[in-house]
Amino acid sequence: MTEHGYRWLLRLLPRSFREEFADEMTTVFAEQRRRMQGVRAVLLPWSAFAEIAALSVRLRADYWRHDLRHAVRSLRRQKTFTIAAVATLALALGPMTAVLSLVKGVLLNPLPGAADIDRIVYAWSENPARNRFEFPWSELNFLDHRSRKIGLTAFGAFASTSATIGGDSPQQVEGAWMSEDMFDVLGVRVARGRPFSKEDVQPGAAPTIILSHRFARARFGQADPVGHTLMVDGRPTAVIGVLPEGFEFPASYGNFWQPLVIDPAESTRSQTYLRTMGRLAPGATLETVERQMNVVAEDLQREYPQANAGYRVKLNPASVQLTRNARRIITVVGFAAGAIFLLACTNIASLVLVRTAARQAEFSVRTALGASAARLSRQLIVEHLLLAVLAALAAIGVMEGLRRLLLLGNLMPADQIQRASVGASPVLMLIGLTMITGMTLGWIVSRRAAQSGLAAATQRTATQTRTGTRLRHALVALEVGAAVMLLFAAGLLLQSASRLLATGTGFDADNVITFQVTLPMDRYDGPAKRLRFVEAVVDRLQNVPGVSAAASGAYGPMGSMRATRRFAIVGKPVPPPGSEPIAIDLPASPTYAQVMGLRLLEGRWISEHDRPDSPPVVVISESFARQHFAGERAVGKRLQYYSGSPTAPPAPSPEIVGIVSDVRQFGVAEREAPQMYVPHAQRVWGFSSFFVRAHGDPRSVLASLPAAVHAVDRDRPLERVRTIGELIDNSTADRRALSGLLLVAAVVALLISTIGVYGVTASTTASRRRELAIRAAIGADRRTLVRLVITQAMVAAAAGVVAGLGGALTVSSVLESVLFEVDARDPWTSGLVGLGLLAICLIATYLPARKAVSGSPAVTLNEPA
Amino acid sequence: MTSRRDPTPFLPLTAAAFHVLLALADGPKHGYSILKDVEERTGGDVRLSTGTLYGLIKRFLDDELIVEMSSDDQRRRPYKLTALGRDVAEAEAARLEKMVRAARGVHLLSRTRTS
Repeated sequence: MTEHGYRWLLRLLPRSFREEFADEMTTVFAEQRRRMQGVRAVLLPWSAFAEIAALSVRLRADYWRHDLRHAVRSLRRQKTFTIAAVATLALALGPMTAVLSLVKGVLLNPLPGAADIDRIVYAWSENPARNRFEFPWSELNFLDHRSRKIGLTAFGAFASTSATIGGDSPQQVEGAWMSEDMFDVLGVRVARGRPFSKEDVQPGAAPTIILSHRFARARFGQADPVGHTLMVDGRPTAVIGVLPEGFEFPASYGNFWQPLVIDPAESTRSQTYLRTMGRLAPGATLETVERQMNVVAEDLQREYPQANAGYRVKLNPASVQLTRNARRIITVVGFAAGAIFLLACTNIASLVLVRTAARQAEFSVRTALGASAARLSRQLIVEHLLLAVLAALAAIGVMEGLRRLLLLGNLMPADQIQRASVGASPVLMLIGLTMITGMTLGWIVSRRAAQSGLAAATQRTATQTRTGTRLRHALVALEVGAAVMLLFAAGLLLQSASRLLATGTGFDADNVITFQVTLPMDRYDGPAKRLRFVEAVVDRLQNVPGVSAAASGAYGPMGSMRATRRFAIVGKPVPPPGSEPIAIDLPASPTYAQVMGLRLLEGRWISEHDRPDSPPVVVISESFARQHFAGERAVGKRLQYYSGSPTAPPAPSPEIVGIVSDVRQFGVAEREAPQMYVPHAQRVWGFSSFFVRAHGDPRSVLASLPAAVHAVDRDRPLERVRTIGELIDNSTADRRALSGLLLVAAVVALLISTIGVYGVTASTTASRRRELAIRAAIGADRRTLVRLVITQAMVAAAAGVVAGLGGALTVSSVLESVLFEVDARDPWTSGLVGLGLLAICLIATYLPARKAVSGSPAVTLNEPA
Repeated sequence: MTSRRDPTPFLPLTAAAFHVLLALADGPKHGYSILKDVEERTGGDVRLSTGTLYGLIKRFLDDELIVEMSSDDQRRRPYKLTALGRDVAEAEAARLEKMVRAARGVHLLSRTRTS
């Protein structure tokens, strides 16, 4: 190996070391080589390489260790800066990482356990003419589509249900019915036992059940439940399988699955309750399959015009369908996190700039003492990396807090949030973000440190000051812009929340508690038996101490249950098939209007004389009357229902006997839909809800409710026991929590940006003190100077406000879906936010401006620069 | 007398580091003579590579165990032990002696080895 080669090898070493020792080392190497013979001479290139490489590693490790120690010392010396920077960075990184982990945990992994989710589609029926979208299927339409399917390897149907799973203490649990092919659609295999077979879904088949891992564990412990028999709704049912751990479908409360038994002979096309999903065959796309299914739909329209007129099929990717709500929330939270991130980064950047300016002297002294520029910049990068690592640790706390807030606010299904827990990959992302942040900051500072060489330390040129000022003003504008965006969004959401809370539901039911009871077919076959149970329970409830009135109905408000019915108005033209009007179908007892606080506007309410065998009657809501009987008297008119199938007995034709006030049956944010109340006695289903009005706090009668039900049938558990107040609160919880979240974000943003604007103006004016003093010395008066400083800063702030409002209006469409009766481009909100921020900026610039010109010019000019 | 720095934090030394300090104990030397001195003193048992030597020199300079002497030839700069460097070498020698004594105490070393 030649000296030249050795010198080349020395390039592996850190530059500062090389500069100091390369010449000497080469000399020593040359002399050594001259004396060397034999094997050692032959191996010399290799041994030299190994030794230099090892030295390089050791030296670099030494440098890093040294730099780290230096960084710790430096950060310790400036505690205020360190705390401010770490807190700001944590506020920036925490929410951002939380959003990233939500995206990863929820959006990219919507159904853990399902194979190839990208090939799974949701199929809905829809009827645009009747304004019905994403509607469930009838059993017969499902069967027809399945037998004529093209482009799908499997097409299955399911419906949520609940069942009493018994023994000594019967338990009401949520689960689903599903067709035998649903597991193929989802790509899930049972962990133990077997899936449903074709035989299981035949009418009259022996009942079977498959359990979720969680439910099996709770019920059977470690034992294998397959082969056991459970009492399900009073019928002995064989447990044939257990699903893998973590797989929960159709929702996180899926405890069991039972075969969906369809008897075509008994089924109708008018009863729609099935949701369907399919798995795309290789080569098939969602669009081609949707087209083919609509060809089938057209055939079915022709074959069954009465039930199917106007219906079509709409496919959605399962990954989108399952995360639709989450996607909305994540978008809004992501928007807030992004704005805060931007804000905090600009803030940090200006903080760091200010600090660098203050450290110019330190840098030049160190340069003078022989520190190379590279060394200096490496030290600065290490220092800022350390800062970022500290911030990352704090950010994990912020992130966990945010996740809990989401959980607390009930914004998204709990299982989805659980999936986005602080795990390895969010932390990796956080570290990545941190590294980038730290490197960038360090780079900015080292660039500026390099600019301020030895010369610059004693004499700063006018150009540098001007560039610095321009940069700082740009930062002010950025910061103000980001704050405007967040405040605007928060303002809209707050307005939305307050409107939501101010909107009444139409119920006057503060003291009412409600619960549901399921009436299984085996014991309650036929309306007469069901009615006997319902009336006996209402009777008992009325006699419970503390209860002022009790009522029954098919289902309570604010739930997912929603029954509708098609009708025609007797004496008016019959609408063409497919465009018949529909209304919400609400079976209710004679005391229901009184208990729930509905106001009777005309005619009468349902009475105890409306029995199963008496003439059918109906009470309609105000909006029903407005929509169908504008300018005429509704009471006394007749409706005509449609029967479910051609073979069914003719449907009743009830007389309208009264009109009541509108209620928001399905949530405060929903618009009123026409409603019709029919006597519970004439329409009693396989489940019933009870409504109990207490004299005082409805919770006080809670303990006495089960006894009243069990006195009639001791095997019937009470389900979904809630006060009406709770139900209403729940229906607005997500919007309230979301606006709360954004409010917090906006306050943080306001705080960060005020501090930022103040800090930047303060440092800018401080660096201009000499200039201002000169101006004062040559005769400018103070007010002019203050105005000068303020004007320059305010121009930047105003630019920020304009840019921010522009940005806010551009992205406000993401908010539209979560707003309630508020225009996403509300001019009042934007005006108020803009003016408010300008006012804050004015204060934040006035104080430092006044301070800058307050001293005597003579004193200022005599200070060392 | 100015208070001297405590040599103990630098102990124990590696064999190579100790030999470099020994080489400088009898006067200033430049890089190549240090290598030669070490090799001769140990009868060829310890042969330092250039990299190892300059790694040590760099560290000793940083720790102020040695100083660089002015020289006209930048390619052959002599290095000299500082008072601290001498203390460290002495402390290491004393430490080694104690260990040898301990070995004698349990008859691991029956006679003085000469090799």
